[in-house]
Amino acid sequence: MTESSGTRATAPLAWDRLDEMSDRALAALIDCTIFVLRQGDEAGAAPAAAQMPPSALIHALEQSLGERGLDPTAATRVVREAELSRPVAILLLEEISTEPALAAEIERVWRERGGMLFVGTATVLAAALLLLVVKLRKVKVNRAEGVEIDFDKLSNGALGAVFKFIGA
Amino acid sequence: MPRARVATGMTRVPDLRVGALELVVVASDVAGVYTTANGGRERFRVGSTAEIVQRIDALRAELRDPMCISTGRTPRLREFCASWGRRFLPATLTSDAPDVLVVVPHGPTHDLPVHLVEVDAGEGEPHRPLGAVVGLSYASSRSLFIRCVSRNAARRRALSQWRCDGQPRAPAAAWVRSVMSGGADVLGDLGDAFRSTCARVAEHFDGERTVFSSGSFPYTRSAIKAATRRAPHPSALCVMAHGFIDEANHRMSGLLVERDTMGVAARAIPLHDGRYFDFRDLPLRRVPRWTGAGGDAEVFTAAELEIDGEISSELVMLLGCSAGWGRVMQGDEPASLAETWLKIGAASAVAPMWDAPIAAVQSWTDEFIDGWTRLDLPKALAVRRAMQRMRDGPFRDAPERLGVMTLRGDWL
Repeated sequence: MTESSGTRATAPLAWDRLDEMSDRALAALIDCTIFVLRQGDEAGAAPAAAQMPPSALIHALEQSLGERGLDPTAATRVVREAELSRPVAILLLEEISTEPALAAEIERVWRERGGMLFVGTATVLAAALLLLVVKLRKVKVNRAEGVEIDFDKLSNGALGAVFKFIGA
Repeated sequence: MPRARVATGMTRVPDLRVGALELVVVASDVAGVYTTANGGRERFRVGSTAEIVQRIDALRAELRDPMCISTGRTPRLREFCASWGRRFLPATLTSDAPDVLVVVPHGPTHDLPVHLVEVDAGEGEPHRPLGAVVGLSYASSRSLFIRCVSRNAARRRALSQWRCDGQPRAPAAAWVRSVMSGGADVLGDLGDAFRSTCARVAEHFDGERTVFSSGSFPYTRSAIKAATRRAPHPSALCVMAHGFIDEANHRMSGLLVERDTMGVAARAIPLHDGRYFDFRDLPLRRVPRWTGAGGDAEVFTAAELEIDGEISSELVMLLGCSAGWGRVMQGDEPASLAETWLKIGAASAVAPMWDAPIAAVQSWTDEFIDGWTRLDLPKALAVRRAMQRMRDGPFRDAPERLGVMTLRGDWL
């Protein structure tokens, strides 16, 4: 009796080909990323962004972007403009994948979720991920080895890429 | 720590000891009534409703979170199993465990995994989940349980014919079972696993086998309903498909199946005197957009099953997501697809209590179906055996995988 049969995520996660993923696959990867980030947030700063209604998400994003000296009006666009979801999500994920320990943990969780009998939403929660990226300062992954990631540096790169893309 | 008498599985079916545990939730308290195998009654208090409901809500939130289940991060479930879940068991049950236990939950205790509560198995023995000690079946109400028992074809078989000793039944056993088994993964990434599981299930039956998982025929609403229209109904029906819950209108919850490539099926309604009225058998709803399922999918809803289905099978196996849980409706009616199959005539149903990894569902299914068919065990004892064997394997420390599959309805 094994627990390995039937899992759908058998191939390695291609971080450099995220744009080839379907909306449903991308949405699942974002779920996993949000889960890993929230689990690794020892300071408890990570909000339950995926459960927030759009208005609350916009408000929280505006506040966080403003605190970092960024244009808060971008929050409404990222939340409301559906066509921005995919590219923004991919930019954020690509930046996150530059941290090997974090990328490995997300891939591990993504693989475990891949074997689930579960119909996940196909909605790409880019704004929820963006909020976490803005809010988090440090994330601890792989608790056994205690790998701590300085999220400030990572989020600066991610926000730069996102704001360049949306032209804010 | 309550201690359970560990059943050896060597009892004859006529001698099986069967108990029932009913849970009752009122405004102030949650209580239980345990009917022993000898007919004795034990009433006990579980706790205050306010406290218990709060704990159950927190546990349910964890069990409904696929990320918690897939990563095995289930602290609330583990706490329930090792600690407060024991309050749902009466002292008599654990000191002298029956062979089979029928659990009748009430209100918020529907979907509570009582079978995972850890009991002391004896001197020097590690704790075991209750479901590995007794054969456990859930019944959402006493009336539904009576209906399941009264129409169970297996109960027409002489009890003395049943084997309960763990030995394979004789090849020429008089009780031959047929099966219809099919599955479809319209989301496209577990198709092979669905097909192989459906085929494996069918291989265990010595009667007529119909398998819809070959890939050459789509597994459609019509394919599922074929089991309800043929006479006699198959002894067992196995359906493997993704499901979803419609929170706003539970009867519109359903399974995602393949669209019929032959077009919309036409059905004939007899009017009178050999005249018929044809109508197009359309699904009752569109595929929810959020599922991401493509245009080749259709929804087989619980409502369609209620309107258009009737079945007298001994067992319906629902091996999909969101098949075994849902909202508790008015009149203490837990709405789930598994319940719907019981209401339209199935004697028993097995289904996951929450969304789980397919590997756990497959492992449980293999063990259960082997116990029920080859070893000729009553379903509840086949469930107990499956849990014992999974626990001896890689699922020992994974209650969210070990306990996902449950039996509902008649235990025989």
